[in-house]
Amino acid sequence: MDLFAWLQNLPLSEWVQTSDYGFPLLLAAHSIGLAGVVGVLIILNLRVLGYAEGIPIAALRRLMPVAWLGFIVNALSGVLLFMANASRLVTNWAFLLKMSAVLAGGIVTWVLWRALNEPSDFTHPKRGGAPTSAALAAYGVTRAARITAGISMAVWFAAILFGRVIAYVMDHAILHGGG
Amino acid sequence: MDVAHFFAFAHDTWLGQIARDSSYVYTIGLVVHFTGLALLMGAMLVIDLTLLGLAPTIPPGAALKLLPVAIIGFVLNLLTGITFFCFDPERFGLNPAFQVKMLLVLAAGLNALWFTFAEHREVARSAAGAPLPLKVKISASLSLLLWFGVIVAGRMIVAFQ
Repeated sequence: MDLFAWLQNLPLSEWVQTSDYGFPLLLAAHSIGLAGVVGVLIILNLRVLGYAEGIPIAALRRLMPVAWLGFIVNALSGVLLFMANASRLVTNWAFLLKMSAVLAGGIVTWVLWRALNEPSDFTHPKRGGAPTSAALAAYGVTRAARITAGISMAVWFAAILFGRVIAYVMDHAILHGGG
Repeated sequence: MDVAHFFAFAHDTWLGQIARDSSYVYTIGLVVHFTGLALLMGAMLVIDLTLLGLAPTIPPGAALKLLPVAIIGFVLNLLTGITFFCFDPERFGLNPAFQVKMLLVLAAGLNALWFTFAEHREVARSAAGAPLPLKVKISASLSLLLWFGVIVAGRMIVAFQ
């Protein structure tokens, strides 16, 4: 039996499809997770790109659990949303592009933190003393980090874009006898 | 002007017409609406978590510099939201989830206005990690609760159609 058809016919998947509130509530959870993961990462990217330089980058690192929480909420709600329409989603180009964008987003965020691995809000160990606010803002943010942050913004916005298009590709397939 | 006239007026606006003329307007509008959500919520999360004392190394004044990001997100969502409404005013206006969503947006807006006029100036001068008044923390908690409520109510609109 086809794996995706089997997934879609599980009792849990059928509950998501047929209950009045299952699907909207999962989408609500997915949107809350979006706010957590993409929201916090947008602020991180803007900060690396030079906006709101009074916010220490190390402080944003300590807010990464909020982004992770959002990611976990979206992974769980996303699995359930996928199960409910598994056999149609595996051939949905918008879904496949969204998954690619999320994967790319994860990799790019990991690369960004590697590029930012020096704390930006502490005294420079070699010079000693308190850094000037300009040095504080610039320290640790390399050109590579700024480029990575720009790519990260584009990738996460692409994830939102393709995520929104999934339903339209599915409806189009239904209207035209495919899917 | 009664409600029926208002719905008819909104329906016949130029915005309503272009939204109905091309299905791309609505689709692109939704993409922008969710981008606005991410901007607004990202900024509000960092601001409110800072005001709640959960990011003690961020100076409150620096977190509040993110307000323009929140405002840009809000304006994007206001403009796209008005477009959706004009697309089919009755579908939204008579929908209980939409009505709840609008009340929550209003409450979140009033909470933000109160903070702006009563507390912003004082809070922006506080040092990172300094304890903030209870009323500021209550306002920050309300802000997060109300904005997340807006998201949930918005997603429940389809459940009441």
